[in-house]
Amino acid sequence: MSGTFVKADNNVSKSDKIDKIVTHKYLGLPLFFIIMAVIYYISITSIGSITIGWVENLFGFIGEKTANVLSSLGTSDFVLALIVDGIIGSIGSIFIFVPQLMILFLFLSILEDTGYMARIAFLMDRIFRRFGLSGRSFIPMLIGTGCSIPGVMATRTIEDENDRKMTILLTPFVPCGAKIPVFAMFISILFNQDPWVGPLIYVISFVVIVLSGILLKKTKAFSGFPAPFIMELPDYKLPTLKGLFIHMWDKAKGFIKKAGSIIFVSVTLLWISQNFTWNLHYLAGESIDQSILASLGHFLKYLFIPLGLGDSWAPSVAALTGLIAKEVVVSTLASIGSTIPLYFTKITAFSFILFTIFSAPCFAAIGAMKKELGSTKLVLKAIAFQTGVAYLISTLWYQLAKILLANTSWNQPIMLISDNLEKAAEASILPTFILPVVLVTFVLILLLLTISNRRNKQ
Amino acid sequence: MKPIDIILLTIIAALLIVMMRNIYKSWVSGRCDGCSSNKPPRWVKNYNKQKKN
Repeated sequence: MSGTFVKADNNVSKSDKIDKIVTHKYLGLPLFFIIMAVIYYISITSIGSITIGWVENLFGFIGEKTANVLSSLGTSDFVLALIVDGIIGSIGSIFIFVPQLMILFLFLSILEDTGYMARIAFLMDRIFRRFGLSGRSFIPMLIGTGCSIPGVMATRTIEDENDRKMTILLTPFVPCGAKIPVFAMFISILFNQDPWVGPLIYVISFVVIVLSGILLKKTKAFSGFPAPFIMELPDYKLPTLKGLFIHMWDKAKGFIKKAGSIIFVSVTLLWISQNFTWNLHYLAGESIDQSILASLGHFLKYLFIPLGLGDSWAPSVAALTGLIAKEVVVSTLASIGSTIPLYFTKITAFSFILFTIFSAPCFAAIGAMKKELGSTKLVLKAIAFQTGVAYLISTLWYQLAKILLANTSWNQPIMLISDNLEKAAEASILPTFILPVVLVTFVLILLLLTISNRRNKQ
Repeated sequence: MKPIDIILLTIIAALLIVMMRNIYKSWVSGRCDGCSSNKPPRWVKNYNKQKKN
């Protein structure tokens, strides 16, 4: 008899044992936050920041060689400046963050491939339901960390129409891949590579999503009980090298494709509007205040005064160009900052980050929202809601921080120029040789894991 | 303006026009031109198929 009797405890798999910790009622979320903080520390702050100088040097080299060729051909100053500073320089200002982004997505792919992200969806469901939201909403938001468009499309899995519409409205609040260069730039220059700023932005976005959800549920259009969310948690498995590199290449390919299309178009038009007056007179980098872009910015900047961003016309213009693609915010600030002194304090920089994250998404994401909502009126309402939330949060932050942090380092202005970015990269706490060493070790570990995975399958 | 300037500016203008046309088309269709994942994830498609069946 004793041979046929099996204790229940013996049937507990390794996955179940891990789940007891990672999906724990109280430990689960803090553990997730610690994991995300470590990932941010590695990809944005320590190892990632070393790569900034490398990409900057690469684009500097390309710009120099192109300038030599164009000068030998006898091109005019403004054509030379358009190609070298306007196109190559501006695209470079965005591309310096691509390696950081790739390292970040590599780690996120590991979390996804091991099955940990499915546990996060399970954890979030518990929290979402407590606030009257559907746990199903979390999956599109998780996809939205890469890009809002597939995130918005993934709302098709939500059966309840009210829940689906609300998720479409809230998914762009998740910081997508295109928004990462914006806060990576400020973290590198103003926040002394503080590792907690990146994860804090995700925590704030999560809080805003929950609060907005509670608020929307109180309205007639979104009222009702959330639909139940049933999901099967897959067993934990080791990620494969091939799978991880496919994920990483997918992100890098997306950035390169974007650089060749939407970013190229926007930086070219941006340079023209920054260097020409309404009478099409070339300014040659002087009196930029008379440019087309400046006149637009001088008009818009009054709207940004409550947010602490009304001193200069640059932030308002950058926020506007973010509608084309969020990465363009970085090239706009870099381009203007190279001609006129552009100052930010930590307070105003954080206000700007908050506005960029929560304001209306890029036009492509708005197009996806229109497709999924099926009504222009609803899309306009969604844009007004998102921009209103962004404006309110940034204003609240600036007005409170102005009082509470008035005599701290948070209120000291720092110039936003690429030299400071280089200095920030140089000031990285890790020596330069550490990156190749870490990458080679990492690849070796993954290779060993892939080989052991294959052997186990056989 | 020199001939080389006119050639370079014509190339840039032509590129801008073609790309702006493509970008406009992608915006209207709710697709991100250059984003890594334009399509919904595979499991979303499977779910829709199941729903139809």
